[in-house]
Amino acid sequence: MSLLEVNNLKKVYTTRFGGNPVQALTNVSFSVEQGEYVAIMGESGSGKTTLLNILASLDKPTNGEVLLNGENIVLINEKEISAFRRDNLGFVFQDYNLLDTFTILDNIFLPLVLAGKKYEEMIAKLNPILKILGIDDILNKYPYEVSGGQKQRTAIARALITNPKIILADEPTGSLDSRTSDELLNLFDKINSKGHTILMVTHSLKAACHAKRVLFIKDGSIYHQLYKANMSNEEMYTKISDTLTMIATGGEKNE
Amino acid sequence: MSRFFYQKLAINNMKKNSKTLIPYILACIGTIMMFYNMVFLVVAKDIGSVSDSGSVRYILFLGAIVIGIFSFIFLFYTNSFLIKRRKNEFGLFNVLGMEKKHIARIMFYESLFTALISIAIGLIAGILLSKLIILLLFKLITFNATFGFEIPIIAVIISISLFLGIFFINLLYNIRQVHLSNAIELLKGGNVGEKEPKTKWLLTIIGVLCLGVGYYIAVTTESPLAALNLFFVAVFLVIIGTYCLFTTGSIAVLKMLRKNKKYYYIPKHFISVSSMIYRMKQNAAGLANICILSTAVIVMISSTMSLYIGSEDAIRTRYPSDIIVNMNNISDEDAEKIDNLILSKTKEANLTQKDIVRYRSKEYLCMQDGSNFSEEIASFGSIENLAILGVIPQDAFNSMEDENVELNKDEVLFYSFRGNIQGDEINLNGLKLSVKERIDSINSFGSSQAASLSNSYFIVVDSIDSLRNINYAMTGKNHMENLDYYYGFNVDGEGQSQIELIKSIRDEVYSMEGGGYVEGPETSRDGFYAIYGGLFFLGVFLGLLFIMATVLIIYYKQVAEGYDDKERFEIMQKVGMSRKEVMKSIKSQVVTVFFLPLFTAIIHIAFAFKVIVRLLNIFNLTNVPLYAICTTLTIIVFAILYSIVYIFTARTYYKIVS
Repeated sequence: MSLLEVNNLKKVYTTRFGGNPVQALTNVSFSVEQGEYVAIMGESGSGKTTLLNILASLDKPTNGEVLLNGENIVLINEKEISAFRRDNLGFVFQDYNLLDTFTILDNIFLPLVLAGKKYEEMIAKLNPILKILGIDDILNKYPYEVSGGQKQRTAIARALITNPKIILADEPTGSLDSRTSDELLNLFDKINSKGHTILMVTHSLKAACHAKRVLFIKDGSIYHQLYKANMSNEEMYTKISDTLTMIATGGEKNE
Repeated sequence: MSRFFYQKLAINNMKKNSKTLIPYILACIGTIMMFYNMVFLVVAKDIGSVSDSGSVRYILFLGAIVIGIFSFIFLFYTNSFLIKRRKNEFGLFNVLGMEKKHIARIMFYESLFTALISIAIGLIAGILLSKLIILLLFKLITFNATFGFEIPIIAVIISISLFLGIFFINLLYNIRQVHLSNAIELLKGGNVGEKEPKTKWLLTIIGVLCLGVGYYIAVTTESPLAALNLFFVAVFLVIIGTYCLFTTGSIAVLKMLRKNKKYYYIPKHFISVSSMIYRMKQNAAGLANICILSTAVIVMISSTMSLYIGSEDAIRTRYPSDIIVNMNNISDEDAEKIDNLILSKTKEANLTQKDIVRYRSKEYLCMQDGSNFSEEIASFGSIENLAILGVIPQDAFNSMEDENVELNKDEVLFYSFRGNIQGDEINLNGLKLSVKERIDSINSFGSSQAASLSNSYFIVVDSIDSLRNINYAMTGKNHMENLDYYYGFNVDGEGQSQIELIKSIRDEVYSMEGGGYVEGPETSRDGFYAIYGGLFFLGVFLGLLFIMATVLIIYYKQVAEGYDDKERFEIMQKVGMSRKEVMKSIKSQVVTVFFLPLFTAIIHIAFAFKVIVRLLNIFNLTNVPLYAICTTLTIIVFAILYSIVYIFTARTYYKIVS
């Protein structure tokens, strides 16, 4: 059984004044295996964010199902959804979404505290993560006192600390400069190599070529997918670039 | 560029900001209305026909000044809040190519329109209301209203010029704010990165000290005169303490809570403690304002209300008998003359005397230090050591009390109206006398001196010779002047007949040698009501103004909080907190923040209770239960009002957040 299975997902937005309904997702099906690193690419308006929101249980689809470990998250009721999200999903957002009233440390602890964990337990969970992320020295600072890269590492630490089944990342490099982006992507590789499953939405080629598999989404459905297999980042980059050009110019599907 | 471009832009801006601007304009209208009415009362012709119009006018005049100053501070504060929130709007204009002088022009029109609307409506409403207000005042001071309507031009002019001035200063402030900052800053103006507030231990300690000393003074002050002296010191200290503790103390406490890991890392505490630190940073000054205003409202209304309700008591306290003749330094013959005079005048008026209190004594104004009394009046600062010592020979005492006291030389009976001495000996400037007995009450005095503000004692000595000795000790003079004479009695007649009797006695007595006065409750009642009614009126009036200010500050706080919390609220939901949990957490914080001032205000009042009771003594109010009831009632009404305002404004807040 796959870790995440998405079947026939459809999402239609109806505008308030009875205008034409907008079809954000027409029919999306794919699955993600345990330990995979998947990137979803697409242009603005292709439905990436809608898809991610549904996977994150922040939004409900019009049709279709999302199975995480066999459990349909679409059917989880409003009361349990927050706890479910907290325990099973880790989020990394483009704009970090850190709370400026908390120190870096407390931002990382936030989901654990909400889950009612003990302080000692939290510290125990924190240590291995700090080793990977290298943010030991800024723990007592506040989000506005640290750089963008450090903020994003904090967000990753916050996502990792609950040991989620899957990490959902929305344009994680979107607000970072190229050097910091590289560092961050290497970090994602490292996290993935430790067995974490990552699903990343991006339209950055550089970010996507780190993934083991890239899904291309266009006009609300999966258009194409690429496996990295043994390709180097550079080869993958060219491959993705070609695919994107093809999608943009409307060429025929290959493979 | 089309004509009226700036005017149109200004009107558009005002429409766009109506959520914050309308309350501001309403507040302006309210303050203008109240200020006009107060000035109107100061100059109104009708007031001239009130007895004791001078003191009524004086009270109202003070009220007008207080309202004027308060309006300025209040409107300035509100305006600065508004402009802070609008900075990015002006930043946008600036980026779009408008120069600062153009922005200033828009601001000018905005201010102009705001001023015109507020002043016009405020004045018209004020004028319409003025008749009602003056009737209310007359009712309170038990004066029969005259009919007619007047609009004193001078009041209109003063109101217009004051508020034009306030609007002008606000405009200058706004222009300066925009002028000082560049486009980028203006754009960001709304959300300058919030730094975590630092714990300022020094200020916290100062706050604790100020509050502690203020409370200590309020609780330990015994004599009303000292209370009068120290009350304002205490108020000042408590105000400083409140500001310090709200701004720094709250943060120090919260940070200490945060240091306690076991406490802090609990979901409920985690969110609220960390958010409260920021909330307090932004709101502390506003909350301290609310707290002080609330305290002021409650103190003012409750004390003036109990004074007013207790007027009759106060009059009785001040004048224990219907008719009081009090003469200083008169001979025995003259005293007899007065007796006869009073008898004949009473008979002439067809009245009968009752409850006669009559005694001759000698009174000394002295400084008390423990059981030592000296004549030196040291300095004004030691006014609380002032004491009145009355001395009466035992014969007189026996006859008026119908007792058989036999004292030896150097022995005294001791009675205290107020104050106390330790031990069985008193020292009158070197003359030592032993206290044979302390008297619990002197029947015939009734409460004739209960109204005295300073310490006041009465001693009974064995003979007129002993009195002479005391006189020598206290004044250093061999020759003793005549004794004083107090003659008080009730009559069975109505108010008017009492007034006439007092007048007829007064005419005769005032032509005699030695000073003195003839008075009674009936001749002073109007004066009492004029002052107490006037004060009550002022208390309610200012109370309303302060409540209005409190409401507005709460409203703006809620709006500001709402915008700040919106973002935080969204993030929390993304990280795995349910909407319900977030709402609950936010609600508990908001409730804490807004009820903290009220809670603190009630603590202030509890501590101030005693000293205010002492102060009310000066106004002849000794009815403590009455004051307690008035205070409790005011607090309850105020708390209900406060809660209603809170619920009402909280709705605006939730609308913004969700």
